[in-house]
Amino acid sequence: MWTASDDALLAGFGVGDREATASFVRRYQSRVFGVAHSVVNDRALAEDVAQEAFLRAFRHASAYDPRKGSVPTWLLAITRNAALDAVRLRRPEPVDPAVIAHFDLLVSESSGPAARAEVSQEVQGLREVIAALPPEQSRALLLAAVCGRTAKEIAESEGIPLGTAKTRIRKGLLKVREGMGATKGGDPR
Amino acid sequence: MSAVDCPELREVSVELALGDLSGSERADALTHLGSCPMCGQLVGDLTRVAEDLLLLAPELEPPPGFESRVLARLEEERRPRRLRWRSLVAAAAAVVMLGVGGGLVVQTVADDGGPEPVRTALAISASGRSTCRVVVHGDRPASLVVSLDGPQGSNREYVVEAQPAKGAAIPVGRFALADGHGLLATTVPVDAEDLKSVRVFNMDGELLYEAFPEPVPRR
Repeated sequence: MWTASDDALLAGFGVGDREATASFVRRYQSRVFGVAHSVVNDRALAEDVAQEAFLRAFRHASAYDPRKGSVPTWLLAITRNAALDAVRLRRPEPVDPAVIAHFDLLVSESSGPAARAEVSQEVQGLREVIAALPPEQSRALLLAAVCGRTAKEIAESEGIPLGTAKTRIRKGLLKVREGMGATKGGDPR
Repeated sequence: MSAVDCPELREVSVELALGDLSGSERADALTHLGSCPMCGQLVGDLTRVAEDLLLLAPELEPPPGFESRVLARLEEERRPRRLRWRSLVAAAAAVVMLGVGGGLVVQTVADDGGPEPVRTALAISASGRSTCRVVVHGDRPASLVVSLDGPQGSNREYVVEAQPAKGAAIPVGRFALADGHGLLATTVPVDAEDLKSVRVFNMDGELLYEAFPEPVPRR
């Protein structure tokens, strides 16, 4: 019966309401687990990371600022940070770059479950901007921004010089910034 | 790199946004950001774009039982708060019981809060078997959560309205219990501090609870 907005649900979660907490976890668990797994490439460790991400979100719910991004983006950034902390501690297998093939990049794909409705427009814009990048740029950018790989690791896995990896990541992110500024009608600078 | 200037900062802005700088490089860059709003804006923008890209990660079903495990950890995390909440409720109920309307007992209590200042209220039915909790916080629109623990097995429906300090009551929405528990989370177009009370009616329009949120005392 949950129809609450992401912001309102986070408010209930942040103050420890049992029903809101269950709904919050249910709404985001597959996204959180997906990001965790994209970084650590290990299901057991991804579960630890996903649990940690929800705990951190609970502790820091009051710090959420809707002007800086949506609730899903905020929660997934927490998840990525938790995953990178785990990677530094436990050094799992490097992410197989083939993981990029599973990313949600199909421009024509519909927005899917109701939980994604709030972000679908933003996701659609991102897909369009990413699709316009040279494939090697989008690949390097997603490995860095989502999977948490360093430029050095990307250079090694792609078999390219470090400077080339850095350039691909840099150009890719700047183009996405510019493209998303245009999508939102804002000034990218 | 020690004293970083703007061109040097721009060179490393992407790595900084992606968390791919060494400790000393990062410290130097952050020092520069502390005194340069324009570079701060650039890095803030890049960080937000990088975070937006996380939305493209594939959704993946977690292992069976994940939900119950994470809920158990969250329960553990907030247990100290709930114990304090219960002791406050018990103390408040023992000291002051206000009769309102047709046998209702309504009492505002101070929760220990949660992570940010909130206004809370608890309304208890005359029988003491049902409770309605209200949590409101934030500026217009305020976030409002109304939760109701009713008789076990109940699936009744309720209507909620918010009464600002000035002006007419605002319809908030309706919700149903599922096996005795129900929750409505939404926003109301007032500042939290301007919300005088929250009323819960049954589907016949009969007022069941009226809760008056009060600020949580700062510790």
